[in-house]
Amino acid sequence: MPSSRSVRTGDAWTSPEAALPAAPRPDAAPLPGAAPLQDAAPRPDAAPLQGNAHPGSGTLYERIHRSADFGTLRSRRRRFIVPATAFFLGWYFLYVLCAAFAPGFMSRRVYRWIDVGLVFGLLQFVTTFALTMVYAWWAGRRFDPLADGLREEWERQRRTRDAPT
Amino acid sequence: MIAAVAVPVIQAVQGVQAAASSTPGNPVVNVSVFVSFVVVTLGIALRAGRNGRTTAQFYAGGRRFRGWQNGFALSGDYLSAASFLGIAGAIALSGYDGFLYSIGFFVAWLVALLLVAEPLRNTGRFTMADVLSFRLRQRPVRTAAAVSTMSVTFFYLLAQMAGAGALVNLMLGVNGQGAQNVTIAVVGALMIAYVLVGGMAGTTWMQIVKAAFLLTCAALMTLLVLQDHGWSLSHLIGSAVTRAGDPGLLAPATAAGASTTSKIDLISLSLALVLGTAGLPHVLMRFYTVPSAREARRSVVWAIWLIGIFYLLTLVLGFGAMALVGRREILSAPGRANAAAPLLAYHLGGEALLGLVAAVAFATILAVVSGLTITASTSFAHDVYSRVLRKGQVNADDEVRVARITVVVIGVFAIIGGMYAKDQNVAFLVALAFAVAASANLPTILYSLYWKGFTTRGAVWSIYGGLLSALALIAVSPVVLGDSAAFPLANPGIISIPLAFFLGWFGSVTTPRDVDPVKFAEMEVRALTGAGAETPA
Repeated sequence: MPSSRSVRTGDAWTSPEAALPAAPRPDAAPLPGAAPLQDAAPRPDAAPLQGNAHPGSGTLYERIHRSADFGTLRSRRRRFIVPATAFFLGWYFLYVLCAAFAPGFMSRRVYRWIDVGLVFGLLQFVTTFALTMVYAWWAGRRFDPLADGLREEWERQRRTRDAPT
Repeated sequence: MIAAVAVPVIQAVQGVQAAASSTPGNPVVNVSVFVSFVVVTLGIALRAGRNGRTTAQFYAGGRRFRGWQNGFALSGDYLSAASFLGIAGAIALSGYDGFLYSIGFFVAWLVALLLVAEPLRNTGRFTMADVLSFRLRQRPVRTAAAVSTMSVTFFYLLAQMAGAGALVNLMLGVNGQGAQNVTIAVVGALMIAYVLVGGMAGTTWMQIVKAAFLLTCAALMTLLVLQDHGWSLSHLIGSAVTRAGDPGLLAPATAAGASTTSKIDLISLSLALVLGTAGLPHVLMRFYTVPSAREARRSVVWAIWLIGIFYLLTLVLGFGAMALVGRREILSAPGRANAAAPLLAYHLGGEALLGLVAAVAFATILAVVSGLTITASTSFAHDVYSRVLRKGQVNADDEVRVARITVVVIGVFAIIGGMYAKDQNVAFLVALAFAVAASANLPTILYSLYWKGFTTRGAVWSIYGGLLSALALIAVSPVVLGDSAAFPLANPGIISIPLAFFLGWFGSVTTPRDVDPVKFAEMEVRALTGAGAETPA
């Protein structure tokens, strides 16, 4: 059964002092291949989110949209979702094509009455369950902390803006 | 109210008891289990619906359901009678082919999990149209989305109603038109009562109870079947195939057939199944009943486990029916394939277990039609009435009142439609709903969530193009026209789905400057982080 709790690590993101672009990452051990947050240099047009000295232009959503952290969040999600979707669709249609065009292969016996088609079908269940759990684990570890940080930043800045001065 | 709905059931039973001797089982047992389910769930709906005043409470249950609760409710919405009776029956009669269906229905949930559930929860309020119209022009897009939502929902509703009529043949052992019409009317009246009384919260609780009921029942029967066969799947399949006298049942050959046309038809069906689930409006609407995108994700994870386990159980039940009941007996029963699971229950546990299965099947239909009704009424009241006709100048009381009236209207239409559609093939109507959902809904959902250049024209072309091409191809298919069909395939998906994707792209690239970068930035930030998303009421 799936766990009903996600992994929440660290409270750096909830502290109002946490400057967005340079905040320590809650998941301290990055996976190889994932660029560390600090290395995501802001593009010239990306105004820093923090500090009233450089509020940047456009709406708060636009400023978050341009931030390096949001770029990291988006590309991190894309790097997981695109291959995962390609994999399960490809794997499923491979199964359907085999069922349609290779009935001989599918009815080959593996063990007593169990044939390739049944094993192939059951493997679809195995991969679906596995991908579901890998995604839930990945999202809790790699996606949620970064997304939470950005959402809290959005809420904090909106409060600041709305506060009477 | 409870008495008002229970009396016709009992009268129907008394009227047909004399004729019931041809069917195994005792209609009084069947009906009393069913009536106790109705009483319990109506009580829950009454409790849950006490504060259904605001739109968020009536349409989304206040967004306070936990992930696991919504996971049970999602599986309750998804596992219709077509899944329970239909797939077990398809496996019992044609072996491997039934399994092929269930795999498509199951793998499809990955589309919902990976691509749709979380951004949809973050960017919408109550309906699919909320997401589509986020950065596009409200009125044309909402109208189109509401038209396709109501089309999909109505086909699905007709299928369930027709299934209810067919089920009464089986459970009560009658063939009379009158008794079937009474059943359809009772199901419709109960459905209206549930939705009016409980709103989304009551409907959700009914789905939760029903899903638990259905899974327990299927698990119990599976254990009995496996115990009968030395806990060996191979042994079970061996005795099933031996009894049927046809080892070919283990191969997918009957679905694929010999001709290339039927092979392409299988691929077309698979495409609609795998892409249709994440476009079903009553599934999408469930994502708004939880407090956050993270709970929406958790609910899909729960739904995937529950639905996957259920389909694995139906594999055992199907082969169990083939082995223990036999194909000849299933084919000669009223209801044919749909009779496999009930007959297996009778074989395994006598009248008591059959009564349980009958009640589960009725509860399943009742729960699914209630979920469909609230979806259609939300789409009408929120999208068409409030946003298109009144341009948002409506207060919440007024909108909920319109939603409640719509529930009654849809219920009456569904009862009348169900009486006419009861001779239709249930599986055909469900496949139609999936094909329309995959063609008209999914392409626009994906484009509006992930493609910056998507425009109003692209959305409108894609929705109407997908909807009309799917319907037109079905109208000239062999299912409707028989031998004189103009289109060789029974399933339109392989044409209509790519066409809808193409129209969405083509309509967008031919629109001169209709992209709002500010709105897109807002939508993308909101979709991924939940900043500004709807919070629990």
